[in-house]
Amino acid sequence: MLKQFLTAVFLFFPVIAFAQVMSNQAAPDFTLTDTNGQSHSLSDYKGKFVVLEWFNPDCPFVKKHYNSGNMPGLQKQYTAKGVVWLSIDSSAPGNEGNYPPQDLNKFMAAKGAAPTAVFTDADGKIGRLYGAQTTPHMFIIDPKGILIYQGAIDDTPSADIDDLKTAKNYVSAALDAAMAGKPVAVSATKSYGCSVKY
Amino acid sequence: MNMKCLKNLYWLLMFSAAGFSPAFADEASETHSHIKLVSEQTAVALGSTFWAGFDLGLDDGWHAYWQNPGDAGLSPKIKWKLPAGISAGDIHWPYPKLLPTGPLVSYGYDHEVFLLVPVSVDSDFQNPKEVALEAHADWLACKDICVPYRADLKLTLPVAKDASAIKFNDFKHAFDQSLENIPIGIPMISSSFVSDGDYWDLRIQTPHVKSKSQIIFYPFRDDLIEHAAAEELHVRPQGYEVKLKKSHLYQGGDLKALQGVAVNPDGWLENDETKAIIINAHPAPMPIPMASASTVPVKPLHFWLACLFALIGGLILNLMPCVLPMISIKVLHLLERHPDRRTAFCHSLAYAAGILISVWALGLLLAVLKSAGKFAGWGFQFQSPVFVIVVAMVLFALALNLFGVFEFSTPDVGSVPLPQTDYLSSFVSGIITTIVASPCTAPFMGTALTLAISQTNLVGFAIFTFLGLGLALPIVLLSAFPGLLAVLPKPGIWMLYLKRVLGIILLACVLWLLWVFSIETGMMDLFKLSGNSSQGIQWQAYSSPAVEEARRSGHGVFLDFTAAWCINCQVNDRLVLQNPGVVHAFKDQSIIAFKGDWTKYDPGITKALASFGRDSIPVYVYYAPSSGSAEILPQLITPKMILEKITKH
Repeated sequence: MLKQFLTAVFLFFPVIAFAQVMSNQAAPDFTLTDTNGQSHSLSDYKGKFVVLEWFNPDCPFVKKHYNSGNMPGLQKQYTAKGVVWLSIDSSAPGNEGNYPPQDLNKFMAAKGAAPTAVFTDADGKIGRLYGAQTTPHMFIIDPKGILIYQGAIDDTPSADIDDLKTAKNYVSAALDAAMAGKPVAVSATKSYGCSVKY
Repeated sequence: MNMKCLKNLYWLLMFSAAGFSPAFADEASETHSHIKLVSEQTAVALGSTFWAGFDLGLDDGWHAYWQNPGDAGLSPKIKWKLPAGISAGDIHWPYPKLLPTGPLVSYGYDHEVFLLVPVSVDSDFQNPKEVALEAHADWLACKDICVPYRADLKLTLPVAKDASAIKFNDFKHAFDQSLENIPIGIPMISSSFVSDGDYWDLRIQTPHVKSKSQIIFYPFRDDLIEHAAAEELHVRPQGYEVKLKKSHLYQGGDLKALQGVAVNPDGWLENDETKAIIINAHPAPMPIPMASASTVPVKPLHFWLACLFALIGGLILNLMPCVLPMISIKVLHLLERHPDRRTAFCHSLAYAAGILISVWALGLLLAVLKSAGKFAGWGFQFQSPVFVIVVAMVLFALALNLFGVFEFSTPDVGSVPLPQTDYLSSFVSGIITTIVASPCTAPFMGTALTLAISQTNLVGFAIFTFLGLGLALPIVLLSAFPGLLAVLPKPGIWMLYLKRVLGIILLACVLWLLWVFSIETGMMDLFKLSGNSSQGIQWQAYSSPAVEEARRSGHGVFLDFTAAWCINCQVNDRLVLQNPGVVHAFKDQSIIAFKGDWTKYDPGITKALASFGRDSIPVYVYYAPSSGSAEILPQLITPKMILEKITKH
């Protein structure tokens, strides 16, 4: 039943190529409607730092970062500094992590999270545009629209909360450097996590 | 608000809460993956290295991941808790398969995989009764959802009193299978790469090119290639070319080495085993290292060279200790009986025919065994104790005959002209000559043989023919040109003395064969590891995990593949490896030495020989300290050569 539905979905939607975006180049523009019905475009945020965070509430790696307060902490810390934080769920209908928008809002509320906006990308269009492979997968865009970081949230791939004590966070490293006008040391890493459920 | 309204509101709220409260998936209530820590041995010896294995099982549809998980996933991680005196190496990963999910591709396993780890026990380990291993395993198993698993594992093995107390259990088969699937480096297969725009162009040079094979390359690093991009394969006469799409994440500038595993489902060698090899490709152009003459040459250019080598090798074989008496006997026959040139020549043809038939039979047997998947090498028939004892009896009879103890119906005494019909005896003596020549390999022969066995039947047939011709050549020439005989003294009493001497040489051969027989049947426990004399090189028995550990230790490692029935090996052993200068140098340089004893059939050693591209022994391999590559030495070694190799860095 699910398979038939998925086939139908893919038949009706154009096959979108899985792209890659290069670091230190212009990040592709997109438009998405958030979980509160509001439309956002990346170009709306020129002049601000933008973080794209791919997530899936059911993925053990995402749970590690949310249950520990790590991701909500980052969101609060940087949105307070004017960073626009967009959390995107690209799970296809019928796959793990695919939920109606209100449920995603509930999830964020329950975890004390504070992204600027939350999006469902059920047809996977934006995920494929950016080449999002895992949850979590992080992309950071600077005020000029250049992609200054893509990849893992930190340097310790695991589902173990204890590893957060010693893990080096690539997102805060990149944002702190860029906001201070310094070059970003690490602009691309291999992300880790569950596969995005396209 | 009245009660009814409140009640409705209450139920409405409850209903909405239930409806909207998403049941986010908890940890899977059933377990879809299990892990056990096991060993294939029932006991372990102190001062040894053995394989421990993580038996990772997965339900249908579930996957675990390789050392590079690919686009998504996580590799299993092991944290050991070991007592002092025990150390564990890294996981030896069997080669993975592609796990595509939508637009993403990961690398991993399904159903069941054994992750093998070499574990070393010090000889002075404090617990004389048992060895207890503890490990914490973390791994990720995914189907359409992912579940991280963890387990605390324990394995206790009794310490064996001696090597005979160690038996293998039901896991041996699974361990052997896994060892087959662990990628190995094959020195005769070389690789290089070129950066070509958006692609890495990997070139793999191998003498065994199979045109229909679908090669897949799995890199060790996860940020080198686009795992989901198709790998474009081109089959060339010298090998394969694989175009790999560069990862958009790669930021390392010029790539120094392209490392990973290349899988050929049809096998990298001429049979269908050895499906995975380790690739350590450097940027081209890089001259393919010209090792000693024993490197396998490329087929079309070197066929005639191989035939020449076979001819020369066959000629030199005549000088080998067990063959020389046979040749000398034949020469004596010619001298004694002064047959007319024609008869002599015909007898020599019968003799040559005997040699050729036996050489072809040996070659055919080797080819049949190879295609049946059982590796065999030149001289392998001596691994059978029955064969050894039969040959010993034949040589003994010949020796007695030379001493005049008794005579055959073959014409051995007197100066009676050879009856024309007795060509059978010449034919048989040709067969015997080949059989006693087979444990020896001459210089040049090794290369020719490897090529013969690895190429098509026609090529192999030709090369073996030249070998037989070389072996038969001296007698044929002497018979055809009796003038050559004139250089020898006229028949006289000296011939009797010579016969006695030859008889003694043959008796020595018989004694040597009896020694081989005793080793093969275990009558004499001559090969105890602890039986190393304190003055000589301290040899350890060859085993691939032990060699791995030794290479990791940063010392030079020397491998000697030998057998009791291999005369060249024994000669090299006495003259070179027991040379005081060499022994001293081994100690000075702290070289770790391993002996691979092929006296009896051993699949592990056969596989090791194949990985060095060799079919005959002796094989000497040297790994310089902290080097990644093996250096294969020629079959004819000298103390000077060994000293040069191990003292230069």
